[in-house]
Amino acid sequence: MTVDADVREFLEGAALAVPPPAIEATLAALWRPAAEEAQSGDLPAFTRVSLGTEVVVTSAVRAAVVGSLWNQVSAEHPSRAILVLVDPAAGSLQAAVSAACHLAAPGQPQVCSERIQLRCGPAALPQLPGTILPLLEPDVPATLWWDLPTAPPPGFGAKLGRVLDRCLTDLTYAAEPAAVYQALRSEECEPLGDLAWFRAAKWREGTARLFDGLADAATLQQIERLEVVSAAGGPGELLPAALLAAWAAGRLGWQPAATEELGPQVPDADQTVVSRTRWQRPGGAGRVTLATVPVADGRPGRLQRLTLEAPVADASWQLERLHDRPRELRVEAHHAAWCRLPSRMPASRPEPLEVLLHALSSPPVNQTRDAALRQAAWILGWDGAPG
Amino acid sequence: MDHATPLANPFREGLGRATAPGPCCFVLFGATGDLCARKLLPALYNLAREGLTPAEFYVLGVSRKPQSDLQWRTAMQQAVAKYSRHQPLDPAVWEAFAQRLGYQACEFGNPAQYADLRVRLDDIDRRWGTAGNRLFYLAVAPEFFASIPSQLGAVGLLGESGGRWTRVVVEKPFGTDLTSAEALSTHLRGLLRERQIYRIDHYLGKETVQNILTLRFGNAIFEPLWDRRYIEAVQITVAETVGMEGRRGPFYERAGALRDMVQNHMMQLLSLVAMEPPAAWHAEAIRDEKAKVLQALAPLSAEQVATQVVRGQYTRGYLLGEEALGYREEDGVAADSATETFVALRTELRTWRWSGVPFYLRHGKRLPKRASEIAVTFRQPPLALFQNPDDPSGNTLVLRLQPDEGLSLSFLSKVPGMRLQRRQVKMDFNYGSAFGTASPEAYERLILDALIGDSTLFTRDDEVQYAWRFVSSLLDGLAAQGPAGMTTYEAGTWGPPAADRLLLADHAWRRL
Repeated sequence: MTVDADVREFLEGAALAVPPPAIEATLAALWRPAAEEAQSGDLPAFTRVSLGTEVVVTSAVRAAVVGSLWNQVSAEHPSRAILVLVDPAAGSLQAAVSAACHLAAPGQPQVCSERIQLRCGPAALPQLPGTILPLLEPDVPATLWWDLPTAPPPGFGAKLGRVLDRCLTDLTYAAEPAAVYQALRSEECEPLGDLAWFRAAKWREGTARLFDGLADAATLQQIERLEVVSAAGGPGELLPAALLAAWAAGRLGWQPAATEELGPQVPDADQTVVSRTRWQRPGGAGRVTLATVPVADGRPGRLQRLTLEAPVADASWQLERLHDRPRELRVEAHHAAWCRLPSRMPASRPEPLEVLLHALSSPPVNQTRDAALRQAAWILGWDGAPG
Repeated sequence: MDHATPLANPFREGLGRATAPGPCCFVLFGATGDLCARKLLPALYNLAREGLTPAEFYVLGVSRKPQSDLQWRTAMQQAVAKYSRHQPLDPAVWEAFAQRLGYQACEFGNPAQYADLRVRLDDIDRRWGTAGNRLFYLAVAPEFFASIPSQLGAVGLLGESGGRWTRVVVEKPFGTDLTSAEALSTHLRGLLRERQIYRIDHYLGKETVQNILTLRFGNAIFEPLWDRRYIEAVQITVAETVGMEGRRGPFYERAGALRDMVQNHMMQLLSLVAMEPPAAWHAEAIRDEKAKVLQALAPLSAEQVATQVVRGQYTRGYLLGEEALGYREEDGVAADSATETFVALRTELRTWRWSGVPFYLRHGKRLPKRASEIAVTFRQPPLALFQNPDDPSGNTLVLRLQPDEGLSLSFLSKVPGMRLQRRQVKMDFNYGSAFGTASPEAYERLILDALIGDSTLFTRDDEVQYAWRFVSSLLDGLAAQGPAGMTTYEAGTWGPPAADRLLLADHAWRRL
């Protein structure tokens, strides 16, 4: 028996052009003979797996990076990937399909998933929801990763948002983070998550480690001040710091109260205060401060330090990235009851693949994460109300 | 109701079918129509191909258009070649089948031509041995559902004597509201006994619909959980991507989503999923239980309709990269049409088994996918051991009716790794791959049952009336709202956002 050339090319990852209305039928027509050929031994054995539908809307300039990233993602998280490339040079909507196969373990069948690539010009964006909706697989999570630096057109998210399980963004690197954030929120792209949350997992772990074995809950209630310092950068690059601060404040039971005017700053060579907010603590008022330091390692927005202070107990706790050991965090406490600290914990910056896999494998709904993003947006002035 | 139980034939033991069809003439009114070409003749051909039609069998097409037997046979050959699930056409099977195809022109309102029809049928009995048994299939416009049987009765074609039987198969819609359905029913029952009337709903001929009963009553693991104690909600969706193709606009303008789909197909699905176990595997016992479900559907008041029903009409949009017209732009549709192409509703059954369980029904045209399913969502465990409010919901049993017929059960599983993280996984059963054999078309099964005289998969008069009683209350409530009650949705989306407000807290429409 001869294997149809299209089927073999498809399984080897070649993109086969297909009219948009025929995407689903073409995929069925490719997978069925591929499975039969694999059973008869004419093609390597494979198992088709789909843990979800991941819709990525990205720009033509990011196409190569995202495509390569998604090849790696499919090895760990096989899913139906719908990659939408918005290309100013493109005209009408064009589609192509391909398979992504990986050997899970020697002697085991390959694990295969599928990729649907859609390319269109900005003018064809309104056509996309009606193209994407029929391609979402039932009974598995569907995620939209909005990777364009600009906001979605009106109505885009509203048509998709109602049926998606979550939206992801990476506002740290967006040109207009506030506009993208506001557009996604108003377009019902809920729950909304940001990759900055997943990049900062080690910082949350380190913060939690500070208080492991806590004997007296009153200690937490004595914390009044919270400061996060990050490397200076553009407006989106403050998001990691704001997210970490909002999360820590939320864990302490604080509620957002008001933003404070930043008075004249004391000239300080080390850091610049960029935001100060007041919060309602269980035992009184609290304050959250964001500050930046000059970029030292070429990574704007990178978290540098988290400090929690309890003046009434003359105590403080701190996580800090060390200049001479950028892959470690120093964990330090100044409190009479803390004798085990300081210590260090590994905190190398996670690779983009690791971040994305973490995001995709996490539950779509996470109230803590969602609240932190809303409050971070409030801290940064992207949202008038903290939600 | 007639409850005649056929005598058991001991030689039928293990043969899988209670009886075989006897000699018969299949008289098909509407022989030049779309349904005949696309579904009925291909179904009859496939039954003949599989040896399921009797040797003494004849198909007489009846319609207004004058044409010869040969002309109709030629047209039907093309139709079967195009629409049969068995491709290509088997010349030997077709040749034998075509010999027993004939055509009779008949103006449906002309009594003299029914006399001619009687002469022709008597001749067929003599020449082809069909023994005076006749199955009249009314694949015609609804306005003829009453008049054709009247005319047949006037020339003595509905009588049963000397062991001969006569059956009449009536296509949908059976009435346009409760009043008209009652009138039609009264009329037909003046001419025929209930056991002679076969109200067809092709959904009941689908394998997966029939499998609902097997699943529920052939397994011990589901039925103990099948009630308000364990079931949180039931969601029935029939989604279509098509609009008004095939000059369907004028018909649909008079029908709308409620009459076209909800009153018949979706009410039948609801009755099958909610019925009590029948006392026996017998047509009347099963239909008794289905009728009780529909009886327990309380008509909704205008106030209830306002909060429990949403109707919508599609506007211009994009579906899979192609632009789709809005409903009011379609051929044969009024520019100010008030016909709904989408309906979603929440209702309850007033029974001990189902009290308090919401049943969500949703149907629409120009939705993103063609898919029909029944999803049964089970309640959360009584003790939330994991204490994580963000965990995905628990168990859902999904019966997929089309496409990819089958069922799946989703449940929570721990994700491998050091963290205690949970994720939904599912067990899946697919008809296409589990049995390795193609399912017959719904019409094949239903025509064979009608030839045999098994009415299990046909709708009984009381079922129709109860379904209309409920749907008429919705129609009345929506009419009272006027045009303001109509919402819109873009073609290619899952209906108007207003449909979401029907859902109770923590419930969501499923993405198919």
